[in-house]
Parts: sequence; C-alpha cells; structure tokens
Amino acid sequence: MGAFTDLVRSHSGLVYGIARRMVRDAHLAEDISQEVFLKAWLGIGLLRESASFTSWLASIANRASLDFLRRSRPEDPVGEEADEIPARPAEVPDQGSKLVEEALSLLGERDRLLLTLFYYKDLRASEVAGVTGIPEGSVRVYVHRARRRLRSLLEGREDELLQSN
Amino acid sequence: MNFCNRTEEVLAFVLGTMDQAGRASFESHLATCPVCSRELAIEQRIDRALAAPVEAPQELGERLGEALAVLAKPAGSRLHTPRILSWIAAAAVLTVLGWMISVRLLEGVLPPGAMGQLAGVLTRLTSSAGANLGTLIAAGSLTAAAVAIASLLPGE
Repeated sequence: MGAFTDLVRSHSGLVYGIARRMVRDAHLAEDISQEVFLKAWLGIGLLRESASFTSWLASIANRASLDFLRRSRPEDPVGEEADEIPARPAEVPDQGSKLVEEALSLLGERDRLLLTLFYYKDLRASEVAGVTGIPEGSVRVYVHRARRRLRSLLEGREDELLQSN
Repeated sequence: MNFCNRTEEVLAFVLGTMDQAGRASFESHLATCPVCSRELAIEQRIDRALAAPVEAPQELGERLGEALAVLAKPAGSRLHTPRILSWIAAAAVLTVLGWMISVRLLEGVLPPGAMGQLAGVLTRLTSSAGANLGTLIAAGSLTAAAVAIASLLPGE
C-alpha cells in the first residue's frame, strides 16, 4: 500500500495532466484521476513486469478521459478536428503558459494527448507510441505537425507570449 | 524585415530533428536573422510551457488517500456486509429445505385443509424474507416447529 501511495504521488501530475487536457475541465479531471488510480490499484496485478507503470497508467488515463468525452457527446467521432466543449482550464503559473494551454485546448484529442505525453519527462518515444497508437518511428513527425497546429493557434499572440517570460 | 524563408526550420531545430550539418547551418543563420531568432524565442517559450510539470491539486491527493485507505483496510472489516448477506442466503436455503422436509413429514398427518394453510403461511414468510432478516428467522422457526410437531405425531 505504501509503495502504491508513492506511485500515486509521483504520477498524479501525469494522470491529472492527461485528464485535464483531454476533458479540458479541472474538476472533471480530478474525478477522472481518482477513477484512474482506483482502476490502477485494482488492476495492478495485470501489469506485466516488463511493461512500464507510467505508460500503463497513461493509457488508463487516456481511456478514462476518452470514455468521458464519448459519454458527453456520443455522436461525435474522435479525430484531429477541434471540438466545441467549452474549456474550463485549470490555474496555470503565468500568462504564457495560459496562452499555450488555451491554444492546446483547441487542438484535436490526439494532438492534445500526444503533446502531453511527449513532454512528460519519464516517457520514452516507444511508450508515447504505445499509448497513442502512433508508430514509434513517426512520433516526432506527429509531434512536429501538432506543434505547427499549436503555433498557428497562437498567431497574433506572439508579443504576449514573449513578454510572459 | 519580417519574413525569412528559413523560419519553417525553427521548429525542427527546437525539436532536435535536424541532422548535424543542418543544425550547424541553421545556427549560423540564426546569428544573423532577427525573424528566425524571434520565431526561435516563441517556439522555445511554447516548449517550456508544454514541458512544465503539471501539479495535481492537493484535494485530489487527499481524496485518493481516503479512497485507497478504504481499499487497504483488512479484508475482515471490508467483508462485513457480504458476510451478513451470505448468512441470509444460507438461512434462506435452510428454510426452504426445512419447509420441503416438513411438508413431506406432515403429509398424511394433518388434515388436507390445515396442510394447505400451513404451506401458504410458510410461502408468504419465505417470499418476503429477502428484505427482512427477522421475517426470515420467523419463517425458519415456524418451519423448525412444524418439523418438530411432525416428528412427535404418531405415524400412520
């Protein structure tokens, strides 16, 4: 139990970050994070020894977030296109981060997940590939495209972004 | 000047997807191009925002702590309610078995009308027992009494 509590502590940022960026609501992200850790607790026996706990947890967080989104709007397909759920982003430390989070929330689900996982320090490209379903060799290509889309959403806000350093 | 045809390369430079030669060449270009330098600063700022660790709210940790503490309780205390249910189920099975045995024993001992009335009472009691443990116990007691009476009555 103590070991699992340590894992919860060290991974809560990742799980909450995925959920928050996927469902774009801080309160719902908390609920989803709780669900994810309880599922992890109950299913940890199924985790293969060779598998990374981090990527396994990220997969659960992604699935739980997608389940929530599908329940919210079952008629919409999951894809690249941005959707229309009004965002309730969480508090972020500075104006630049706020701008980036806002732009990120306008990207499609896969881009949001990909950028969240890619920038999480403890995940390798192979693990990002495993969670997102993108071929490992193409992860950086997809990240490049997602970053381009993100940059275009920040068009006209460059001065604000640079002043927030 | 606010346009450079190499600005497209900035992101690859930031993401580290350029080869060694391309990187060296672009670094030289950056030293003389204010457009690409500004774009580099923008992309690096986005990079920092994306890489900033996300802090989960403190309330989440507290909620998780409570939920996991419940899961971590000793099995005996968590199984309290299911154990009661298993006792109820066992009592229900014993009651039905007792009812069946008593019916067999009482057949031919009691007059036909009395047998039907007793069967009706037992059926009503056992069918309502799922929602009421007291009723179930009463049904079991009545069944046991019926069995005892049957055993005391002389056989044919």
